[in-house]
Amino acid sequence: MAEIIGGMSVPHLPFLPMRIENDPDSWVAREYGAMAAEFERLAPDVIVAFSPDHLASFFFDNLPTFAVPIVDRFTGATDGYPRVERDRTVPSHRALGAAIHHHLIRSDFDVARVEHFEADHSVIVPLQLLGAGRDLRVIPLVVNALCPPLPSAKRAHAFGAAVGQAIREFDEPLRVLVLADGGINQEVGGPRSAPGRADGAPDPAWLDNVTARLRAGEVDELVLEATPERIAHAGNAAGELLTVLAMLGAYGDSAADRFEPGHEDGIAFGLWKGAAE
Amino acid sequence: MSLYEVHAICRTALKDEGFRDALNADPEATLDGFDLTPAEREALLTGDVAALYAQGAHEYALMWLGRAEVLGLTVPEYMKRITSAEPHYVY
Repeated sequence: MAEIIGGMSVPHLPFLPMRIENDPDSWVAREYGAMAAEFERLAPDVIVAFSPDHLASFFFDNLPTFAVPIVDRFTGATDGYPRVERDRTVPSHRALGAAIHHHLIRSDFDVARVEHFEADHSVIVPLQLLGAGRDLRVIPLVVNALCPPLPSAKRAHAFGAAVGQAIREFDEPLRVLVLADGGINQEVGGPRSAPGRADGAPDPAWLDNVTARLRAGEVDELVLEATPERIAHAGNAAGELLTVLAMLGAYGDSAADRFEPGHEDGIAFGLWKGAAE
Repeated sequence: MSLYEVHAICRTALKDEGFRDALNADPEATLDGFDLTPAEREALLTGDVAALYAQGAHEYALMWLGRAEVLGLTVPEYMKRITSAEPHYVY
């Protein structure tokens, strides 16, 4: 059977590859480096990534709340940021994708089925900065975290739990890492961006609260606090917390082994490892 | 409201160089091809992203107008204008 060997939460800001290249001693470069070392030690066979989409893989003509790519491979990033890989072909795991999709539908999650997928920077930046090998298989589960109305925190967490069941019931001895990517206190291109920047971190108290909850393993409490209204006040990208809650649903609620917030960008690096359930 | 058309213009400007050039060469005629309200059309022609935001357009799509450098916008100019808007909270 497949097993979930760890969980990670990392940022995917599209300027990070350039910033890390230009300033390898910066906090974010060191944190990403530490996560890349953990990633190498965990040595997963497959990543199941809970990822948002920035109106790139999907658009307003057809915008799923949750989507499951069932593909042999996908490409990205499609959204053309400097130093973000553009034509990377990422192998996926069709059979596991199909098993996740089937289990979700049977668990009353009416998810979208996707048999052709192109990713934006959201999943590609973490693969790039974690140093994921080109043959590592990735299933990018898309969570609508940016175009309100977003799914509730409770629903995202339950979605992740059902994904976790599907992984653990999959009849192949795979070591699976569950990954969440995004920011927590973050406004991108909106009115509350910081002067001289294209983004901002308008609600540092929220990032502190999320940090305290996740360090203590108080996931149920965080799910209750993360109302749509509360998330909206933490920025137009703060819904990306839903990917963390989904990832924890899959991994199993427990205290983070490490969870380090970065207030300048409203982001955090989180690691959960070992058998949780 | 024809927000879908506004969003489609933003995306096409980012993705399609020919459309970008047309929008810069003759914005009036280029926008004739879209089903816009007078307020949306006026806001697009003047690069008034704060007005488009107030009408419900999504910031992620609007920012592409700055990245595409159309309708008098660049990313810094886009940021200057959007940060003059009154934030609203959508949920």
